[in-house]
Amino acid sequence: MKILLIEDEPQLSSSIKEYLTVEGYVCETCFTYNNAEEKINLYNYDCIIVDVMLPDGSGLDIIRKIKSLNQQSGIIIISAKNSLDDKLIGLDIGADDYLTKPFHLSELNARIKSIIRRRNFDGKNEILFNEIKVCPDQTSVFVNNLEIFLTKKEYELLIYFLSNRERMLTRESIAEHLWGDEMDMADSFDFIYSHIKNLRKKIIAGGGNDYIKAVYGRGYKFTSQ
Amino acid sequence: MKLLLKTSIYSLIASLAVFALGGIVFYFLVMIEINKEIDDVLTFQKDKIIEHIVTEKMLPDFNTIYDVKVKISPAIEESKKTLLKDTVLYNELKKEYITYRMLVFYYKVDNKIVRIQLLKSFFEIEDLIKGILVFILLLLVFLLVTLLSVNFFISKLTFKPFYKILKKLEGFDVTKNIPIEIENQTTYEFEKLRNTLQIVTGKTREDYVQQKEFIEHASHELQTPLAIIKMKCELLLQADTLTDDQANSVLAVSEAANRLSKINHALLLITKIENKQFHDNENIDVEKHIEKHIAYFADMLLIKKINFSSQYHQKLILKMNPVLSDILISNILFNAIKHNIEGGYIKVEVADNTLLISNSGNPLDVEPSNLFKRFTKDKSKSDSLGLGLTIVKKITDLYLLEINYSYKNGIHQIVIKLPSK
Repeated sequence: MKILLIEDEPQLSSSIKEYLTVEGYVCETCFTYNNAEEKINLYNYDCIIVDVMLPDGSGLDIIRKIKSLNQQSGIIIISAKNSLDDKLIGLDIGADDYLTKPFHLSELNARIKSIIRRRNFDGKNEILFNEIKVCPDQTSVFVNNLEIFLTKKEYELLIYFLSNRERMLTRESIAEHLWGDEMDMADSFDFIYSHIKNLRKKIIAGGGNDYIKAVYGRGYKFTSQ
Repeated sequence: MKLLLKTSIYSLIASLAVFALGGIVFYFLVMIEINKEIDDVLTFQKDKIIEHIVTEKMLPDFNTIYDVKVKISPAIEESKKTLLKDTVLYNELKKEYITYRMLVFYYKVDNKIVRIQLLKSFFEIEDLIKGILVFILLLLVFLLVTLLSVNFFISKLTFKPFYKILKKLEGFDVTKNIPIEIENQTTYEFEKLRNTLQIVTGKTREDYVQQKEFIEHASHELQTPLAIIKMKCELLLQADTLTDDQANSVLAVSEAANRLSKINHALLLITKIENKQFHDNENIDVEKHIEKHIAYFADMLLIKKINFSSQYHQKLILKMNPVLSDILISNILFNAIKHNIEGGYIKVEVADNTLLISNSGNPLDVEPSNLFKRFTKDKSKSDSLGLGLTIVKKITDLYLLEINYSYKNGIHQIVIKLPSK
């Protein structure tokens, strides 16, 4: 999977690249509008991550360029502005998603996975992990081919874990994924614990193994080890 | 009171005072003149009588000369003084007392001293005076009405452009990027007013835009370094080589950065609300929105075993910006969940233009009057931002909604009321 990252802040760029590389993506970076223009004219990417504020132009224009080239890449906008207007414009001109800085790398990862899954036209849209199967199109979850029924939040939690399998997820990032900006941290941790407990129970009840491991003092990991 | 009414009343009072004064002065002047005339007539008759006595060597035997009564009576002493005064006599015919002007003088005739009284009645003159006064009064009233009406219409005409300017000023909104437009004025003072207004409103708009941009810019600038901190911490935590203590430190840094970011966002939101940067009001169906948000929080209700019930006696519609209405409702509901006890309840009731949200919970150790202030939070929840309810208050202030919090018998209650028209 090839990803193009258009972000001018070098520390951010290197952090994102590092995370995505471990995830198994090939991640290319560029720091300017001109650079980005060159790259999109030369290659096709599975997903393009665009920062709106570039030193020599607007990320939105790059998106328009990408769309005019009729490329099928997924587009995620990242921006320091939490502006509703910007969000609407971005989605209007064809972006798939909009993330406000600062965001968790695991969150970005989950969004990328989601976009690539949706754009994967030739395959069935499925997430597999050993005996667990998720069909996002029907929002249904199967353990050993028997359906289990999760609440909305439990489902979102499972997808988040599966998108970031074998990776350590902090409680913060889980809380933000499930409830966005609205939550105050202190309370959400109790809720997360309950959600994870319930999810675990349901998977085990369906005959699955317990893959959710608590990493002491840090967070949780969905792992088969 | 309206300007025209005020000036009219002042004019009326001043005119009445002047006319009253003038009327009184006129009356007295007329009276003085008339008295003088009568006295002259009496004096003239006195001289004529004296002349008669001197030439005829005897008293006149008439008792009226030209409306002047003559009364002659013997006297003992001669007094050189001539007395002029008012007196009152009873008139048999008319059966009433009539006022007379009387001249009394003494004269020697045939070595006898006589007292001669000359009397002239005010009778006819009184009627005449009354007639003249009525006429003068009518004249004054007419003058008054005419002057005031003319004054009223002239003022109305001259002040027309002023009211136009007032209207334009009322319609001026600094948050909308439209300059105030007033046409050129012919009156010097209004032209000056127009100029000053254009300068002042222009400056205000400039300041507003600058401040808006600065705040947003500063806020966004903060987010990038925060993003770097967050991401580096996240990468660090992925490493297996960290000890538990090191991991804790990294987590602490990450969480602190997170809080900073949230505070930043919240303060920016509050400033934007205060700056009235949220337009685009829509009709918000309160019931729909509450049910939507409760569905969103369904998991939490389940986990905390909170019972939610709602009663909508009225279809309450609020005209608000949809982003703000979402924040308002979700903040309040979330607070009701946060401060609730396990197995507690939340009750929502809509009636009489009022939204009532009550929930079970332990008492807060915050003064209710401080509840909506920035950074006020319950001591048991030290990680809370303390800005959630501040934002709620800012939103209700913006839309002139009344909000009240009370705690009684283990029940927290927030009441939001629409302004009574």
